[in-house]
Amino acid sequence: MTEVVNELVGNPAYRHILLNHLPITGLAVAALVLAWSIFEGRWASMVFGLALCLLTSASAVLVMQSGDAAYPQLFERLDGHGQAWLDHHVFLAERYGRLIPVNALLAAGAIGAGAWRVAWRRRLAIAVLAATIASLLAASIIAEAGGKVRHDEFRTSNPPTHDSQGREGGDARPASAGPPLAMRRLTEAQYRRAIADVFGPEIEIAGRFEPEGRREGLVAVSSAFVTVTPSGFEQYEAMAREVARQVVAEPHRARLIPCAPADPARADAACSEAIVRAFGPRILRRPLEQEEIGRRVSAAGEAATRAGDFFAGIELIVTSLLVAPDFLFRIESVLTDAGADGLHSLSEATLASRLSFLLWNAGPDDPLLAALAEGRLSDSEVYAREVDRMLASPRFEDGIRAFFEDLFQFEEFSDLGKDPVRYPMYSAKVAADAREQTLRVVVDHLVAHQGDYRELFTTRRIFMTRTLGPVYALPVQAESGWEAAEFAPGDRRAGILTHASFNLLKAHPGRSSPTLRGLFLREALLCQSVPPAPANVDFGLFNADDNPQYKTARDRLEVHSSSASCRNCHALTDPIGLGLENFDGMGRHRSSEGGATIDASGDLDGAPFGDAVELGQVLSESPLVGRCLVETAYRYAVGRAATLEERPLLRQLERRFEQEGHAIAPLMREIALSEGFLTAGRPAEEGGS
Amino acid sequence: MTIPAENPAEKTIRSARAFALARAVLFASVFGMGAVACDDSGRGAAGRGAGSDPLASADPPVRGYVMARWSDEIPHDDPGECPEGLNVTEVEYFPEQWKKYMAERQRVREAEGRFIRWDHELLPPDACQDPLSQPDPGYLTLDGPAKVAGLDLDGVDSTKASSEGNACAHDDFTSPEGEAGVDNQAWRLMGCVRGYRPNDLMDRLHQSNTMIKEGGYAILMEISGMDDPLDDDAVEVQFLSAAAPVTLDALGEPMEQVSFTVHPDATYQSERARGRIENGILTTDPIDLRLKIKQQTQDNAVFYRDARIRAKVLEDGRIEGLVGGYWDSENFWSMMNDHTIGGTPQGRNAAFNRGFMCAGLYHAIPRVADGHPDPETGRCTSISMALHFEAKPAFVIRPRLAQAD
Repeated sequence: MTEVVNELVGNPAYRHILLNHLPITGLAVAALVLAWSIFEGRWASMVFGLALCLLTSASAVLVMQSGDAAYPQLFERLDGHGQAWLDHHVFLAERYGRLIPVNALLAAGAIGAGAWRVAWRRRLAIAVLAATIASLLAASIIAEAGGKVRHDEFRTSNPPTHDSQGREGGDARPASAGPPLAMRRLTEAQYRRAIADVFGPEIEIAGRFEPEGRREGLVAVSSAFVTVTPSGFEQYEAMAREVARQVVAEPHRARLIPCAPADPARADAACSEAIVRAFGPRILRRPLEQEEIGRRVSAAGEAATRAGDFFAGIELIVTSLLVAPDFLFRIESVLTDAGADGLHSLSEATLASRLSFLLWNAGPDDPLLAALAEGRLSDSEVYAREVDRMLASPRFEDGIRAFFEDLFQFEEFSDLGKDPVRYPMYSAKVAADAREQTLRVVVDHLVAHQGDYRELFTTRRIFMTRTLGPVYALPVQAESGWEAAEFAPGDRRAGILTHASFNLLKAHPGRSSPTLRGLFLREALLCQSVPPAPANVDFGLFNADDNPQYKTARDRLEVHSSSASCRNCHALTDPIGLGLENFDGMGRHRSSEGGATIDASGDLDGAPFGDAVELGQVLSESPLVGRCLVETAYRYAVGRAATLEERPLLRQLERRFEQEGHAIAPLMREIALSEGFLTAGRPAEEGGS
Repeated sequence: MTIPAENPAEKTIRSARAFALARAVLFASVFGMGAVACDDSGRGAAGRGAGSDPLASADPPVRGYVMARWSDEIPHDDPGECPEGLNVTEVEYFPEQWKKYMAERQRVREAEGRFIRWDHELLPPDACQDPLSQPDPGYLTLDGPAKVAGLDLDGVDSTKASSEGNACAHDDFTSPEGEAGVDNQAWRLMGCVRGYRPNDLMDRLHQSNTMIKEGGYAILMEISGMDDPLDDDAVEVQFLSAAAPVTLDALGEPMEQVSFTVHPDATYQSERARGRIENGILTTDPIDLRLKIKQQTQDNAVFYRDARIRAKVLEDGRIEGLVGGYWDSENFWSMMNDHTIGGTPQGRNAAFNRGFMCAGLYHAIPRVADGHPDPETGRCTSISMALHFEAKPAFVIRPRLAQAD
């Protein structure tokens, strides 16, 4: 009993569910009682009816308070349409809900006034009855949307959308409420790419990078929450010194150093300045002020003089640029003046970096830096042209690869290992090719063919190598490199979920894992949250895959998840994860486990499937898949989770994504042009962060 | 090893045709996917294979295999078939010369850190290069009866005594399972060589499967027309050399389902042998077989004449059994002696390590040869032999289809 009371008091969603009938059924009963009392003409009856109206109308205050409190908790647990209906429910409550408490005040006033003036009693009661009926109508409208939040069987139409001003179906560009700016550390891939872009791929980078982590489902978001430890900085410095050494040494010197000093044994300010101007903007991703150029030239001159070697000074310049916070971090800033809506535009340098890393996963190139240096990027037409130029570039493939590597959690490949006894076919080359295979399919489908994102889960197109051939039990013509192929119609594989990559990655070293696979589908591809497992879970039975009584993973999971503490979460993950059980922990197809036939059937939130291919089909038809990609792409772009205020923006992006056939390039364009991407809220200090 | 001629239990199954078909389907589901070889149409790699039921096709698929084991059948017991002992090496036959040579070899090694050549002037002439440069030292062959694996190649349980006038006549062996008429004169030739005795050098090399694991060219086999792996009265079998070695897995074993491009030299693609499967036992008619061999100091090709197989088609997709045939005598001599390291002949070294003298072997080969008599001289020109093999499903890729992006 105590638990029930605690639940009732402590859980606003529970309170909301318990109380939200009162402003409807309660009001309806109160209206009937009041109508009867008016017909009867007895004041005592009228007072009873008015009191009922007062109480049931007043209950709306508690209902709305508990609803507000439950909103964040509930929102995250809902599917995409549920979230939209919740937003609409809130919108209606804010618009019409205030009428109901007013009815409570009116009823209270009627009771008081009726006690004072006998002649007014009947007219007062009639007035309250009319207000009660109006309140009942308002409550019903609000409840009608609320009922669709959790019950998709009631959803006969798509939920209306709302703009940032709460206008239903508004066409105005949705605005971000101005979330905080980010300071993101370069990922290892971005660091390597930056060095290759500036100095060429021949320059070797030897060193250990700090762990990157994952937040809000993305490394890109985590990068805004990591720092550089002292030992990590030592690594960065060591790498910078080594890169600088290579840059000034032959054979790279002649190619990279844009000028020759008058005397190699002495400082040369003019040549040093030319070098700073050549490397500085590309490394720091912004134009350099004359003062900081002078500072670096001066330091280089001093070093050259001391060492008696001009290139010792250049080495210092390069090293200093590569350990600069402006290089290691993407430090964002905004313009001082806020717009009419209180939002601050990003500084041009921030905007250039945001855009370039979003579309290319690299720093700005020379044309973008030129636009930045000339201050033209704040011109929306110039900016839009840059967006289109970068989308049309072959380097857009790099950006899409980086995004999907992050979304698919492919950084886990670096730590992947398999039990060689269970999976003797596994090798580092298999893992590398499996990762590359899926990325090739993604880029080929989304960029080269501008395909529908949802078709990634059904496409039969594949790329193979001789290394992967045995995993797929397929012939590969090309002795080296990649060859395009296609799974035959009716094949047991279709779509990226049947690729070796996911099934290798989302498995244990010695066996498959329906739970890890289901968790990945829920969280990464459907943007649903699954609570973490309790600390004291007994995995003994599940790990014993040689148990003759429970031969298949389905058998073992059914027993394992029979305990109350496991049941709820496994109910989310396992039904879909088991759909991939025809693929072992190596990604090879199998029909049986332990001698028992594998049953890979299940359902995705009510949509049935018979095997992994059908699971991909069902997934591709889920409205959540496209919505989730939009949300994830937005998080990836801005480096943080979307705020509740940005929901209308996301809804608009989602709508545009649908209109554009779920193509990735238009989505990235919409994001790059959205106010959420272009602006931020008030910085910590006036004038920038 | 020898495959049992017939399994009574499977005979019962064979009579139940419907059940046999069901088993065939089950079998196909296990190995059919990977073993379905790429056709010649040039279609994409995944166009056929996983998911397609080969039995549903009107045109039975071509199944590819790679040899995961390919080794001499060396008996693992020693019942004393060599009553006169084992063959000697040059070290025992020319002790003084070899003593001086070894001393010089040791000196040079210590002084200069190098080895002197095997064709050094301190040694007798290298009979592995010029077999008549030394006297015939006599060569001990395994002349008595013995239990040896192999196939009855000539269909006769013959003895030398009962076949007077036939220069190729020989005493047949009995298989370990008791089958008479086994033709395996290669074992008669090498059976009394130390390195071929149980658990000695060659046996250990065969046990560790170095021929395959360290080989330069995988050995491929294609079976076409096999629409029932248990009973099929018409299949075709072809042997091919690959252009690359086998791929080893993390446990060091040859991996299955690997794609192999065949060697560009058509010499190393055999004719297609007609074959049949009865109760899961695959047998073929004879064909000549040339296979590229590259292992350690060898880089040449074997030539087996009238080779045929008898092997069991296993439910996991592998095929295991024997290859029997006649090893061309000249090729046999060549394979034993044509070893070089950096251009230096290594036949003498190999003979020393295995335990025989090339001069003796040269003269012994005609004595044991039992196949392909020369029409003019009547002299036999090949030696019956047997190899144990294990084939795993693989994909045989014709080079003209290669299409990398």
